[in-house]
Amino acid sequence: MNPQLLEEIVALIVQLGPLAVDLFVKLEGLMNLGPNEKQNIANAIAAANQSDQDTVARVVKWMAANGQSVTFVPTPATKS
Amino acid sequence: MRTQRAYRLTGVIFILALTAACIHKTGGTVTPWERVHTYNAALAEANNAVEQGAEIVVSSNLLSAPQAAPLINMTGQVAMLHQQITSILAQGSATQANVAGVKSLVDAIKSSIAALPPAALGLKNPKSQQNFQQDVANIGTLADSLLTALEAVGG
Repeated sequence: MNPQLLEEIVALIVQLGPLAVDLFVKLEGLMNLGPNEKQNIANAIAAANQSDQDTVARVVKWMAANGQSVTFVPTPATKS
Repeated sequence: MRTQRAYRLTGVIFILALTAACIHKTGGTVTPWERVHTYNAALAEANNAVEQGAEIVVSSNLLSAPQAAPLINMTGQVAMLHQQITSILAQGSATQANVAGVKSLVDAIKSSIAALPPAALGLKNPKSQQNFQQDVANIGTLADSLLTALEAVGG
């Protein structure tokens, strides 16, 4: 990895704290691919789906807990 | 300080995801499809990070729930749109229809971001506001990167 880039990443992690470290570790995993393309793609799809599902679940839970209404609008694939 | 932290979470993602050299592959060259899917997964993580950052700001009593609600709702909307992108990409084919479908969803993601109130979260600290806006904009940048990589596969 580019030393200057590494330096910037380390500086960000020092500045940001534990949550950034967690994110960095996740992204490091995404960016370091194994030799098998099919497996790499399957892993990336699984990670994307898991993260999106987590986001939606968190949003619904947070909005309900804080007395807010979820106002997702129809997405292109679901519009009639 | 904690506000600054919450709004700078995606800085890590931005640097990592937008530097193509950061994608390493053991014993070979990163293929165009691997690049597309890596950007795609990074987008989901960036969006998730923004959501978590906004929750932290509210739980720290730095902002009220109503102030943060538009942003948190937006991340849920983006996640739903993004699930459809992943579904299209999982077909493993960059047909014109698939590229057009992804483009439509990327446009919808960017529209969701653009629909946020101009002074989203109403941060009084200009630097924090600027950082926040940059982090949200990074989601749109990642969406563009994903689309560009997909178009390269189809091209």
